[in-house]
Formats: sequence, C-alpha cells, structure tokens
Amino acid sequence: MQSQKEKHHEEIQKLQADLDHWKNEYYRAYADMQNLRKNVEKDHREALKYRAEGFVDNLLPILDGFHLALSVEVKSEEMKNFLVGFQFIYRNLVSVLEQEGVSEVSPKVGDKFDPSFMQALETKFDEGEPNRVLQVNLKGYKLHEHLIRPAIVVVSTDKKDEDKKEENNDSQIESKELDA
Amino acid sequence: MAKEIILGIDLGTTNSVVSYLQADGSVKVIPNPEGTMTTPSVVAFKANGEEIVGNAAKRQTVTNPDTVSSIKRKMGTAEKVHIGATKKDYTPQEISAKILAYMKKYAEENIGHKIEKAVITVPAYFNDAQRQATKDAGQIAGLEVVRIINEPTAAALAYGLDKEKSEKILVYDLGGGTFDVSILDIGDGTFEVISTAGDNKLGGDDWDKVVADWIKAQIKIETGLDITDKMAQQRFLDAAEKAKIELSSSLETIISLPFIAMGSNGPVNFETRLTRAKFQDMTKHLLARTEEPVRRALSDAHISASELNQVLLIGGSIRMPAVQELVKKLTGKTPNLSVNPDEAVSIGAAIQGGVVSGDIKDVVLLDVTPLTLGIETLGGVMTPLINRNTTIPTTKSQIFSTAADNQPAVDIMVYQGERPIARDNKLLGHFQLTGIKPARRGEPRIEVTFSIDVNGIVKVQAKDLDTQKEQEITISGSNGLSKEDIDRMVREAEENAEADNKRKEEVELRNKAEQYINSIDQALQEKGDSIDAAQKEQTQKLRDELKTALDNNDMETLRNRISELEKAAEMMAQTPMGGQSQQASEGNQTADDVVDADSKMKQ
Repeated sequence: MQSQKEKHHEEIQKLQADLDHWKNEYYRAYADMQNLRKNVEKDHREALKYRAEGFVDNLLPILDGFHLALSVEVKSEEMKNFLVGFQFIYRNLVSVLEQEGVSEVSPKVGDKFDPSFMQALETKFDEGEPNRVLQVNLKGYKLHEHLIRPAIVVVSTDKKDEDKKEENNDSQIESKELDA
Repeated sequence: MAKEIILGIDLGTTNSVVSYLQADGSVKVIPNPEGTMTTPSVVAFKANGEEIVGNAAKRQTVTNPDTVSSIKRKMGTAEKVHIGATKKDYTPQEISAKILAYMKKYAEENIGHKIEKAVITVPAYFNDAQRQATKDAGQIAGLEVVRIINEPTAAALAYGLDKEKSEKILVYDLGGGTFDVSILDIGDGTFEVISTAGDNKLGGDDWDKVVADWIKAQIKIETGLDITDKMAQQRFLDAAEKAKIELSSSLETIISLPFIAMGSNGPVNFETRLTRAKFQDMTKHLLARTEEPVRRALSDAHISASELNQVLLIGGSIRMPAVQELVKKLTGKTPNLSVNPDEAVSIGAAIQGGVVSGDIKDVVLLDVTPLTLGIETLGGVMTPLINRNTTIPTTKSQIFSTAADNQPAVDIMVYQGERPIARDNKLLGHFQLTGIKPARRGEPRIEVTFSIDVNGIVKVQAKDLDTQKEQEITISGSNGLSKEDIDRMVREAEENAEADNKRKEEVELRNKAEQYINSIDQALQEKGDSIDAAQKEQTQKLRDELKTALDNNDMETLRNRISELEKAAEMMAQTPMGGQSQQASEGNQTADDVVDADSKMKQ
C-alpha cells in the first residue's frame, strides 16, 4: 500500500517536472518569437529607412560631376547663363535628395580634420595649424545617420619637408603592413 | 534570449565581420554604426590618446603615421609596433584586441546587452603561436575565446555541411588583399584541413589597380595628358571598382569621368566602354596567380580534382564571373555560391558558437509542409489553405460557401500538391458536411480549418457557421511522400505552370460567367417588372450571350463580355442608379469575400 502510494507520488513528481519543463519551453518559445519579431521589426524599419542607400551611392558621381562642372570659371555671358540654368537643375536634384533624407557633409577650409566623416586624400605643409582641412575635393553625403561617402579632403601638416615626410609616412605604414 | 550569445568573429587581414546565432537558429550579421557589415581592420592612435578603429581609422591613414593596418600578418611574432603618438610599443595581439573590442562594442549595442564570449576564425595555416596570439587578443578585448576555428572550416559550417558525412571539399577564398585555398576532409564528426596554399598579396584590390591604370593610359592616348594628381587617381580607382562590380552582372559597362582635368581648351571629359572580355583579358595574369595554389593544394592533399565532393567560394572577389569559371575549369565542379561570400566565415563562426553554447542542439527542429495543402473548389480549382514550406505546427481557416441554390451538402476534397487544378494533385481524403439549410448560393458560411500538428498529422474540419454543424477528417499519411515524390511534384508544377494557369484562368472565367448569369436571373426575377423594357431586353440578351459562350466553351467571347459587363458595373457604381448596377457590384463582392465550395453536392 505504502509502496503504491510512493509510486504514485513519484509518478506525480515526474509528471510535475515534465509539466514544468514543457511550460518553460513553451514560454521560452513564445519569448523567443516575440524577441525575434521585435528584432525583425527593428531591422525592417532600418531597411525601409535606408532603402535608398544603394541608389544614393550610385547618384554620387553625378552630384560630383555637377560640382566639378559648376566650379569652372567661365567668361562668356552665354556660358554663364547656361551655368546658372544648370545650377538650378542641380539645386532641384539636391532638394529631391534632401526630401529622401540625404544631407551634404561639406567641411570648410580650416575645419579640424575629423575622420568620422572626412577622408584624407593627402597631407600638405601649411604655416597654420596642423590637422586642418586645406581643401575639399569632394563633398561627402549622409543618408539619415549613415555616412554614404566621406568628404574627400586635403589635410594640413606641420612637417616641413613634405617629400621626406610622405616617404616616411608611407614606409612606416608599409612596415606595419608587411608580412612577418 | 534563450541562451547566452557567443559572437562569431571573422578577424580578417583587411576587413572583419561579426555575427551571432539567433534564437530561431538563423545567423544575423551585425552592421557597424555606419551601417556596413564589414569593418576595416585598421587601428589609429592620436597624440591626445584617442584611438580610432574601423572606417574612420582607414580614412585618416595618410594624415597619421600611427595608423596600423594588416596587423594580422604579424600575429604570433614577437615584433612590436611602435606608436609615436603614445610613445609605446604594442604587440600585434594588443592591436588586434582594439579591433575586437570595437566590434564587441557595436555588437553589444545592436543586441542590447553585454556579451562575453566569441569564436574567432584564423587562416588554416596559422601555427600554434598565431592561434594563441589571436586568443590573447580576444582576452585583451574582454572576450573569452571559446574556440579558434579555421576559416575554411567556418565556411563549410556556413554552408551547412554535415560533419558526419564523409566529403572532401575545396575552399577558394579570394578576399580584398589575400588569397587562400584549403582542402578539407570532413567525416566522423571532424573537419580536418589536409592542405592549404595561397598568395597573401593577391586580392580584389589588384584588379581595381589594373583597371585604374588602364583608364589613366587611355586618357593619355586620347588627350595626351598624363594625369597624376591624387584626386584623379582616387577617381580612377573608384571608377575601376565600380566597373569591376558592374561587369560581374553585365557584359559591358561605361566608365565616365567628367571634368577629370583642366586642359588648354577647358575641362577634359573622359568616357569609355569596357567589355567584360576586355576586363578579363587585362586581368588574366592576376587570375592565373590563383591557379597554381589550387593545383598545389590538391597535390599536397594527394587527391585529384575529381575526388572533390564540393567547391566553396568565399571572399568578395569571387563575384567575378572569370573567377567562378576558372574554379569550374580547375575542379570540374560547379562552385557553391549560396552564402554571401563576405559573410560566410563569420556566419560559420557564429554557428560554431551555437554548437558550443548548446543552442544548436537545442534548436527545435521544426518541420515544414513539403507541399501545399488545400481543397477543391468550384470548377475543380485547387484552393490552398496551407502553402508549402510553412513551418508546422500550424492552423489556417477560410470561409467558403455553396455553389448552387439550396445546396444541402458540400464535399470537402483535401488535396496536396502545387498544381492549380485540384485533380492534378494528390487526393489525401474527403468528407461531406451535410445538413446545410436551404439558401441561395453564396449565402451559407462554411468555415474550413486545416491544422497540422507537430507530428505532421493533418486534421481538416468543416463547420457550418449558421447551424454549428461540423465534420472532420484526420489524415496521417500526408508526410508519407518520399523526397523524390515531393521533388517530382514540385517540378511538374513548374513545368506545367503556363498550361495550368491558363486552365485555371478559364475555370475562373467560367465561374465568373456563371455567377453573372445567376445574378442577372435573380435580378430579372425579383425586379423584372420595375426595369424598363429596353434595359430588360438588353440584359436578357447579354445573359443569353454569356450562356451560349459558356456552353460552347468560347473563352474569347466570355472574356470580352465579362470585361464589358465589369466596366458597365463599375460605371454604374460610380453614378449610383440602383437596379442592375447594385446587383452587379454586390455580385462582385460576394465573389471576393467568399470562395464557392465544390458543387459536387448530394442531391
């Protein structure tokens, strides 16, 4: 009689443990699903927000072309009028891009060089403060918070012997890159 | 989250990638704060003590002699890097640790909590010292490195290769700056690298340089200008990379460089076409450099190409068609390309992480329904309830109705398969729901519910929502099909898709015509007296035309008349005039909402 009772008791305990296990698994599956869904939603929002990323990237050479074309100085009146027209077209294009969340990253000469949104093309000796923007070769672009392309700039250096410095610079990087 | 997350990190020479195994067993690659999946393996130090890692570090390289890249090449050596800004010497593992710490940080931000463990990959040829150094780097970065695994092994894991199955695999890895070939022997629960070869100074960047030089030379030929300024060089390189990428998917591309320089006559604009053939010709010497390592790896492994079971291509540069063709030529195997080649190694590391944490074992392997399940509806059409590849257990309901007036019963014919005409599929079972109250066609609401339990047992239930009467059938043989049967059924569906869709369209057209005839009959019967004679006659004529076309199976006429009718109904709906238009649009609504169940009724 006692053993029968014990057996039942054991059985109940086993079933209870089983129940707890499956209950736990069940809730875990639900929790996993909810977490996963939250992540997917977040990723989906991001993907929507940045859907134009590739497209904007492909447009950049065109914007660069405009900048290069519009920065040419012309003398003839007729040419000037043409350029004004193109200026308008360019501004329209920029305004359409702005509506999509694109913004220009255009550092000014004299700004401190900041690699988080600028890329140094080369360094040049300058009397003034080092590590400043000397020249902006290409504007950079952001889509919302993502940097699509950094601004391409020339950066000042206080190292006088330009050639030597560059050589040093190159060789040092090279030495750090070389195989063991 | 179910279990603790173990990051999978591909710590590369040029770029690094981090990912992790999600609760559902899929791997997610984590984007860095700039939104890209790969992070340059570059570290820079500044005089003010600031350290920069990744994209930003790469961008300031020329301004800062204390920029370190390709540190992976020095792992395991005693060599130190002297950093002028901090006046300190750093070991390669300390530099690598900064990259790992940066990735750990953005991974934590993305996932939302602290992470302490990682699996890191290394090239198969790394010796013990190099592996130890990689492990140390992880530790310095605050990561417990639970495993160091070989890059080709990680690739094999990413491709889901089963370690129990005995196979020989060649992994061809052409990245941005290095090229590796490995032969893996898989079986008995292990992945063994039996040989490696490569060229650690060959990568996609070399292809760009060749094209950039070609552009420069072309400009010189065309204009006589020798352009050497750095900005122009940068534009050549960018254009070259863009052309290379475009030529992976198209046979020709245009390289356009407006305002590339100023000449005596104003701006110099350059544009040229580059064909894939020309591109492949000018870079063939680079491709040739990958041939020898492939042969060497095979001979070192003492196997011939024909003994290989699979060839995996990884590294971004394998997107070039010439690379894929070469590998095919060398091995006689069509290479497997199904995993993103930039991410494969990191994905494999994340999978290994899952194995270590026990998550992989714990992933409940849920089955999917291999074929679509549905019922036959009016005209013999297969109406799917549960689509193929739906994860089970699952339940799906849809409301159907009768196809004829006063239909007392519906036959529920349960089919499995991908063909749009029900009888082309496999009949799993059928039953009848009787006792439907007399009503016009389309009025009764019959809810059909399919549910598949975790064991793949299908239960189909039909319930008359007006009388609450229900009937059901349980089918346990739905998974009894062999893999071959399933593949055959899917293949047949694809092969017959065009003809099947035409048949289905015809059936739907017939259904629609019948519905219109029915609506018209009903309208004429109920409101016949209030409609003026001319309109009545016209409507009657249209009805008869439809009926004749239907009887003669004249699809062309049916299609035309129905489209006229729909246009007319639409117009009338826009300028409400009551009567017939109302009727027609109502007819449409029922057609949308309720699918008529099969009319094979018990009389």
